[in-house]
Amino acid sequence: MLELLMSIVPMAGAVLVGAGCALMGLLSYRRLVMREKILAAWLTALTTISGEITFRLTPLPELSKKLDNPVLHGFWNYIGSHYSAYGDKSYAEVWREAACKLDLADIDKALIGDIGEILGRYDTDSQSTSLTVLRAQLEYSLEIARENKMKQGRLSGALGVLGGLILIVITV
Amino acid sequence: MPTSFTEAIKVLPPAFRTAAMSLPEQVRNNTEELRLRTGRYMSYSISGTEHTVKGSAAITAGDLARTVDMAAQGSIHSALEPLKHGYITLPGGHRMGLCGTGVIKDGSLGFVRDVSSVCIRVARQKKGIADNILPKLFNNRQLCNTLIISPPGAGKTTLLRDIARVLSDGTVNTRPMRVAIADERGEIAACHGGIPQLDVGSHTDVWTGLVKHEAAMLLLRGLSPEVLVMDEITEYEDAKAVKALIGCGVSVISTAHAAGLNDLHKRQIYINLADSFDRYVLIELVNGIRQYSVLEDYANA
Repeated sequence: MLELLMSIVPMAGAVLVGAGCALMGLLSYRRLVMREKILAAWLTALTTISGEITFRLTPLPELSKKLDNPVLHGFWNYIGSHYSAYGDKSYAEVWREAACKLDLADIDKALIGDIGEILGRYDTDSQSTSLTVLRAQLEYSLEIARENKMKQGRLSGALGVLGGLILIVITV
Repeated sequence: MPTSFTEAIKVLPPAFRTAAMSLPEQVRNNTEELRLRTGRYMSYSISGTEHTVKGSAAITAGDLARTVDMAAQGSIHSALEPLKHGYITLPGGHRMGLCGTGVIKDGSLGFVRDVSSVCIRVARQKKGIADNILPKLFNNRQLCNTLIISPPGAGKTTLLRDIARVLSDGTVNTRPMRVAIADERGEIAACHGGIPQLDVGSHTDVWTGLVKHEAAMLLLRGLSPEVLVMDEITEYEDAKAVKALIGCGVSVISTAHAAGLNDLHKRQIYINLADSFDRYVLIELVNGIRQYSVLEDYANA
């Protein structure tokens, strides 16, 4: 019985290490997929934000209710729960905080965070222009994200699984 | 449920909100206006007299900028149109008037930079104030076209709102009527999310945010009202709309800024409307108490 246990423990350990490696690889791939999804969701959101601000003149606090969706839920939920029109923090501050929490590259977070300084502060034309510029920048980021996913995504997934298998073989 | 005062002061920066809330309850319940001026102390008005709010710090330009930002819910684009006319309507029908440095765009006021003064006018619903006046506004069971006259801040809009409510709901002696309100500044019904925050009656339709004369004509065409209520006739287009409505068999109830009837006689826009109104309601502040009187004839008035 003890012998059986002694032979199972290293094997189980090896399997766990292997599974861990595979998981890391898959998580890395998932992150790339998510980045693409988040950026695509932002492009859709920007169209809606622009329409709401320029056509319907919607006050910003109402945007979080209108734009909430599964991909950007965390962002809009953060704004909805941390911004009050009569609170101590400005919309721009809360927007930047929410942008920092996005699962995106720092450059994309900064781009999205910066637009908070424009939203609600200027007339509709100025806001619309800034949103158009941001849209172009995020479209470029999305292109890069897609390329990265194509190049690195499968590779990191495969490397993770392969690395795990090699570890199992070596250990066992 | 927040009181009118508590609701109106939400737009103040926290320190000033606290100072305003430290006023005695009786003062809070009767405050008509709160004023903030750069470098001065916050003050409140009761019956037209200003008093300083003790314990509040001197107001800075930053305080006023924050106040305007909060009044616009951090969304200047939503408040830009009324801002060009020098005010922002707050939730609950309260109004924030302001002045500062005008930024001119396309020949007219485009924005107010460096706000130097803010005046928050507290809107209050006073149900029942129209009860004694309303019977006098009928002639042979027909509602007369009526103009309510008083200086600013005497309670024209409050009375107008109550008249709309009573006409819309009906009384023991009058059937409910279809009332339409051209509420350009959102002060009469204080609509928020399409729902009037102040009681204007159950048979009332409200156009908010649109210039009065345009709203009046849209209401006439689309909602076939029996009574049209509009605040403050100030432009010739408004007067034209009143004439058009009366010509279509709609009773009009409106208001005018004037110190008294003599004042009204001096202004061409109201001279042109002399034959349009059959009743004039005068609101006068006598020793801080509002007194209402109904006159039937412009010439005698």
